[in-house]
Amino acid sequence: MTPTKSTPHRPDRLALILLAPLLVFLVVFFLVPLGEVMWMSITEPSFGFGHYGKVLLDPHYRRVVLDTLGTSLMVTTVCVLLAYPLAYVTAQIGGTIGAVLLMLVAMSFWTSFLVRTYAWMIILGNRGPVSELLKATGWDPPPLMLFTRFSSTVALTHILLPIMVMALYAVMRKIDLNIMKAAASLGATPFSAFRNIYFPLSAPGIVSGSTIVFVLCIGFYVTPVLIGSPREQMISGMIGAQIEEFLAFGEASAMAMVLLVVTVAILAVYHRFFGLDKLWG
Amino acid sequence: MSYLSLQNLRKDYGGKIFAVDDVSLAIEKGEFVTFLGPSGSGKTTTLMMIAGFEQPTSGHIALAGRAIDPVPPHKRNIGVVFQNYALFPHMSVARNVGFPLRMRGVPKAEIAARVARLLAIVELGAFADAEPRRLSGGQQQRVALARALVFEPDVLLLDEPLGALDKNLREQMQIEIRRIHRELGVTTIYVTHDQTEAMTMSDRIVVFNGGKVEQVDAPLALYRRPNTPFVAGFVGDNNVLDATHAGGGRIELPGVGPIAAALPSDCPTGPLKIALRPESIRLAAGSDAPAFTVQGIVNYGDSVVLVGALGTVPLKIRLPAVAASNLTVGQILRIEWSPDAVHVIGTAR
Ligand SMILES: Nc1ncnc2c1ncn2[C@@H]1O[C@H](COP(=O)(O)OP(=O)(O)OP(=O)(O)O)[C@@H](O)[C@H]1O
Ligand SMILES: [Mg+2]
Repeated sequence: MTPTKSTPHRPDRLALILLAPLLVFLVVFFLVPLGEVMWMSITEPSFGFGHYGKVLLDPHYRRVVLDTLGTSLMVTTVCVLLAYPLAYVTAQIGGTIGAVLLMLVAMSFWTSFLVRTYAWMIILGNRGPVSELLKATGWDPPPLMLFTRFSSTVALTHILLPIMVMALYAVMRKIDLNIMKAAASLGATPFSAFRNIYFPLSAPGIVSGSTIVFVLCIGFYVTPVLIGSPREQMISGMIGAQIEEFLAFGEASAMAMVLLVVTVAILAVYHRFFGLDKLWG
Repeated sequence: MSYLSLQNLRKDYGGKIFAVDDVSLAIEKGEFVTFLGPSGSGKTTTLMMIAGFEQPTSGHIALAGRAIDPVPPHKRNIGVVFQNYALFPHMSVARNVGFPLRMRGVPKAEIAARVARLLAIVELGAFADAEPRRLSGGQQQRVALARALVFEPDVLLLDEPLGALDKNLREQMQIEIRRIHRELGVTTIYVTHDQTEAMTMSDRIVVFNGGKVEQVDAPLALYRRPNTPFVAGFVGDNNVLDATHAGGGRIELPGVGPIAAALPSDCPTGPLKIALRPESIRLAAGSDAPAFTVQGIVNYGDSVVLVGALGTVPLKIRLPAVAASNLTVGQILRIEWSPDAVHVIGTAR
């Protein structure tokens, strides 16, 4: 065997060795438990697909699924509306001010979302600044904001906003400024240059940002559980409650599997049209 | 009054010098004018002020007798071609070219006809439906050109449009751009820092240096009669020498003595700068001609450049290859030139 013949195999073997720890980790701590969850969903307490039937057909569960999708859609939409102008300004001005803006976004991103959730608990609480402000302006008694769908939507939006900003910024930063100048020189007003050129070119950022935010949102646990409405739970909270309160492992597992399938389906659709490698810009 | 006039344009970016410093120009309708100058000399900045993307710190721009200073870029009717093409990546070639017409609300049928005509002129009719990024650099450049011309702009601005192309394609595109200019007759300003390109393409050349205009002239006039030492050195190869005119038409080089030169009648006396093209110097037969010491030989195949000194004055000589065989470094040659070859910088001849 000559050295030249054996070399093509070497990178493969090397890659495998390098990947081995990760693969072992994934198998032991992800695939095996996942298999277990899958197994529980059809065997707990007895074998059958009854849990799936219930999760998909029972009006109570359907409510939870619809509420989850609705809240996630709302959060994603508000994120796009808030993040787009911010990312636009950041990408346009660049320089020091742009860097500072981006730092602020990143700082909020690196702050634990548990901390940020508690912060919203204080802000939106019964004696919080928002309530007091509303009282001062004559809205007395102020509306109940904490433990509602409103509070969880606000907090989730705040927590996921940086991700949307980054996804948009990554795409916008790559838009050539000369292209916008070209549009102007060709007779496009600033508005029509934005509508015809900038917006279509930044749209991939909206799609990938929305995909990430939506997928993270439908599976979010802590924030909705801590400050959301107990009557309008989201899927993850419901799964937790099933296990902690009712020890209904089978049903909880079936719900988890449904959540997983929905998530994978969304990512699969994205991959089909854009390629997953583009998801992070 | 000229068609496009720049009056005392100045642009201050807050740097040590003005990016553009008191530039005044008068450009006639249908002219092909080139801005030539080294990197950072203010060519792009001047162009961007004409297009309306940069506001002059002071000065005025008028087009067809109308001040356009307050007019925003999209209302100036000036076509711009950028060095990196700046095509819209999400539109087909035809939609790119049709864009300015759609912005002007031209009826659909007319758009189709005008786009087809322009694509035919740039010889890209077969690529109407192609995506821009699938085209070669030269093809993309021609799409950009068609797009900047289709709305019949009053002025066409091209900022180093061929900078990214290889040499053969550049030459082909230079010819193409000249042909299109002849066909459509649009007033054109072309930016380059390649002096050969400027020489072959332009009706007139504007030489920029440090934000200022050094000289505005037809290519040959610029070559023969540079007004400043900078132009003499920048346009073509040149020897720019310090000399003295003692009066009576006698020019002396310090440390060399009197040299052959036919001086114009308006030549002032005292110290002056002269330009002597390397290719205008020949080897002399006699032994009383000035002596040149060869210090270096650069072979270009068809010609040879000898770097050396005339007495203590550094000098370059370009000889046809046949005349320069078996020369060696250190050799002392006798040289001569026609008295007309000496140009006194700053005079009319
Ligand atoms: N936006 C800007 N902000 C600050 N300084 C600038 C800006 N644009 C240009 N300058 C400065 O102005 C001067 C002229 O620049 P300009 O781009 O006009 O030169 P140029 O002749 O086009 O050069 P090149 O051949 O390299 O394109 C340079 O010193 C440059 O650094
Ligand atoms: Mg430039």
